[in-house]
Amino acid sequence: MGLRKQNVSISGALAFFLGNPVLNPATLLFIGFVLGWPFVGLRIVFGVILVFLVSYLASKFADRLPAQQQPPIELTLAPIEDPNRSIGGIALAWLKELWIEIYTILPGYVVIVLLLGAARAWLFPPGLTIHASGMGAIVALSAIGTAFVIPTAGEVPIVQTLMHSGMSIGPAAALLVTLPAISIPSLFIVRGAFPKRVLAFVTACVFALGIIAGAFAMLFMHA
Amino acid sequence: MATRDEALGLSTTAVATRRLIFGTLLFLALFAIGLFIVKWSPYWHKTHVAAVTHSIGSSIVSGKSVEAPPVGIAAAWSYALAYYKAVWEAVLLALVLGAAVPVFVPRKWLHRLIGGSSFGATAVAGGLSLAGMM
Repeated sequence: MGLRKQNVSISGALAFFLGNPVLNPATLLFIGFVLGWPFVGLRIVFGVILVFLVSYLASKFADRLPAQQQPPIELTLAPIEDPNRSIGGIALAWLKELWIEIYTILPGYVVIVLLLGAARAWLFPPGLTIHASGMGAIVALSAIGTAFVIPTAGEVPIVQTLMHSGMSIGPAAALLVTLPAISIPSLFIVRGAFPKRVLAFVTACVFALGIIAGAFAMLFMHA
Repeated sequence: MATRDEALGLSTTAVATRRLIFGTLLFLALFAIGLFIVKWSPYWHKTHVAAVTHSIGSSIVSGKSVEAPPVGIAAAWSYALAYYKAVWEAVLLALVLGAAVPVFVPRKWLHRLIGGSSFGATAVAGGLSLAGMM
C-alpha cells in the first residue's frame, strides 16, 4: 500500500506483495525440515514464476488498461522532501497515514477472517482433503488455497496434518503453492493499490499455478 | 530569513539532503529493528525447533485433529483468535512501516530503485521482499 502510494510501479509492488509469503526463506526452511526438501524445490520454482514472471506480466497487462482504470498518480513531495514541513508536521503526516490504514483495513480484515474461520469445515471437508485425489481435488484445493487466509508459514502444519492423514501429494502441492500466496483478506487490503483487473489476473494466475503444481507433483513426485 | 543552518554555514540543498538521509535511515531502522523482533529472531529459533522435531506446531485449520470444527460462531471466533494471536505483531509492524514509506522515504530515491516496470525493478522488489518474511 505504502509502496503504491509512492507511485512505485505495479510490477515492483506486486513482486513485494507476493514474494513476502511465497519465497519467505524461513518458511522454505520449515518446509524442508517438516515436509521434505523436494517440496522446497517445488515451492521455489512456482514461487519464482509467481513473484517475478506473474508480477512482470501483470504490469504489462496494466499498461494496456485505459488510463482512468489506473489509480491516480501522486507526483507530490513526500513530507520528508518538503522543506516547509517541520519535524512535528512530518510526524503528524505519519500519524495521518497510520489512521487511514487503520480505518480502511482493519474492520473489513477482521470480518473476512471471522467468516473464513467459520467456514473451515466447508472449505476443508475430509471428503475433499484426505479421501479424494486426482485432478478434481487438485482444482478444488487450488481454489480454496487461493481464497483462504493463514498466518505466515501456516500452510506447513496444515499440509503436514493432511498428508499424515492420507492426503495425496498432488492436492498437498496445490495447497503449498496457493495458501500462502494470496487470500480474500490480502486482496481486500491491497484493493485500492492495484487496478481491479490486475488483481483478478493475479488471482487467476495463483489458481492456475496451484493446479499446475498439483499436476506436476502427482506425476513426478512421491510422498 | 536566517535559519540555524544558514548560520551554521550549510546550504539549503545540504539541509534537504541531510533530511532525506535522516528520513531514509529512520525508515531502515524501523524496518530492521521491527523485523528483527517480529520475524528474524523468532524464526531463527523456530528453524532450530523444526530441524529437531520436524514440526512447527499444529494445523490452524483443524488443530490436532484432521477435521475442522463445525461451521458456526465458535469456529469463527477460535480461528480469528488463533490467527490474530499469530499475526498481530506483524500486522502492527506492517501498519507502522506502511505509513512510514510515503512519509519518510524520499520518492525520487524509491523511484530510482523500484520505480520502473522493467524486469530489473521487479527483481529488486521481489528480492527486497525476502527480508520481509511476512
